[in-house]
Amino acid sequence: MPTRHHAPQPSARLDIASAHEPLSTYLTQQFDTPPVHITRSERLSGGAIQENWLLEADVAGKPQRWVLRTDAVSAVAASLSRAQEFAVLSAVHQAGVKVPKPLWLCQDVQVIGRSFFIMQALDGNASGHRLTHDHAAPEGNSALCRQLGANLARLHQLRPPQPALAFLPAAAPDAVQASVDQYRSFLDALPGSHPTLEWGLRWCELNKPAPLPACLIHRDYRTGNYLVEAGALTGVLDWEFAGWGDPREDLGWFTARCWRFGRPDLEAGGVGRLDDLLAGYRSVSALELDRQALRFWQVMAHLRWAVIALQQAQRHVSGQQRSLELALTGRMVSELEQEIILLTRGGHA
Amino acid sequence: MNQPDAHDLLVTAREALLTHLLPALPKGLHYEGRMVASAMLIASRELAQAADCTEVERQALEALLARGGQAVTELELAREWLARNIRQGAYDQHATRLLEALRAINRAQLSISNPKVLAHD
Repeated sequence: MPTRHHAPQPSARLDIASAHEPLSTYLTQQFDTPPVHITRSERLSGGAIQENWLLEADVAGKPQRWVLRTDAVSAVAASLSRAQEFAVLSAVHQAGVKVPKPLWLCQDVQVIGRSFFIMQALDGNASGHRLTHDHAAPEGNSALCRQLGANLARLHQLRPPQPALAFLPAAAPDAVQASVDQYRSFLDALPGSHPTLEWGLRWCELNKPAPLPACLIHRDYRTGNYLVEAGALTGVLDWEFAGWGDPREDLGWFTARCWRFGRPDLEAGGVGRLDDLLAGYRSVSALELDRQALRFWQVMAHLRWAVIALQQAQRHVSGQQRSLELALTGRMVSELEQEIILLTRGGHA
Repeated sequence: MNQPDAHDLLVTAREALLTHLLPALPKGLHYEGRMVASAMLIASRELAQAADCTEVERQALEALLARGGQAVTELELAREWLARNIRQGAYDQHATRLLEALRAINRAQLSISNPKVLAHD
């Protein structure tokens, strides 16, 4: 990336499909070899906050496939910037977590009018509905669950301080209480009152386990955010919510009923058995966690999703972003409340 | 009263969407088409059941508030009272009646938003 002594004036925001030429020029600068020609680009599905584009390129006669990730028009400030996400992706890639290999970060807004990074394109499908319907076997895909467990445990081996991740906010000494306080403040900022969510938050406050030392957590590690090819994990996606936290939060999120799509009977993300996920996790980490202890983190997961769903519905209702998808997300809250009631009265999801 | 009623109109329109329109839509629009069908289904159920749902919530809240010496004047005020009391720990020791009330309200709301998941109980 060229260094500049003055603040660059951003160029016009370019649609990727019409930016093949400046992107090819930028990519050519990253290689010592002959020119890079982008031959095709395609917007990948998913991502209201980020855009993901598949780039097909020719480098000295060799075809290459990359994914370019950049801010969408409706970018919000709540998640990591692209530069920060690139740093997280680089750190977890080095730690041996299966992710798309991060290649180049471009913060020069002259190129396409916004920051972006480029990573290796991986084969596979991420669709939660497809993945949970592909497992006709009653026990799901045991090997995939072990890979997902081991991979998550490898991520959780990363502990602060990490100089490359110094931008991440410091871990709260009591992560659960910090989350409870944050969700309450989110609820207070929304119209109306939500007794069931208040009950769930109070229950968590009363039943919280002793905190564990903080580690890097993904915060959206779930079916729908990883790629599977021929039944095997190829990579974990969407690192924009990563931060320091309690490793059990990721396990609760992954196994919460709300992320099991077409197979609610398969506790490990609708793709397999909990025992397989935990066996994979324990093959890397010494953390012991049984179904009973996991219940607490599943309550936290449903609370988090319910609060986010209320916020998303409010974006629609307030007129900030009219959207059928956001409107329907609001109607998911009672399903999440059902899980909170069932889990806190002693059942399991 | 105009006939057919709003519920009938939504159900009939949804059937036309699913039977005739969705199969003719390009694949890229199927997700949105299914979301439209889903919104129409929830709205049709709400038209049929909203009054019952409100009554279930009113009765459940009345029973809880009466124990706290309160009367239900408006539902939103009753929800606010209950939420505040839960947060302050008023149900920490005796949550059984609270959970029964929350579950009754939740079941009534789910019978509109997503009755399929009621079987999970």
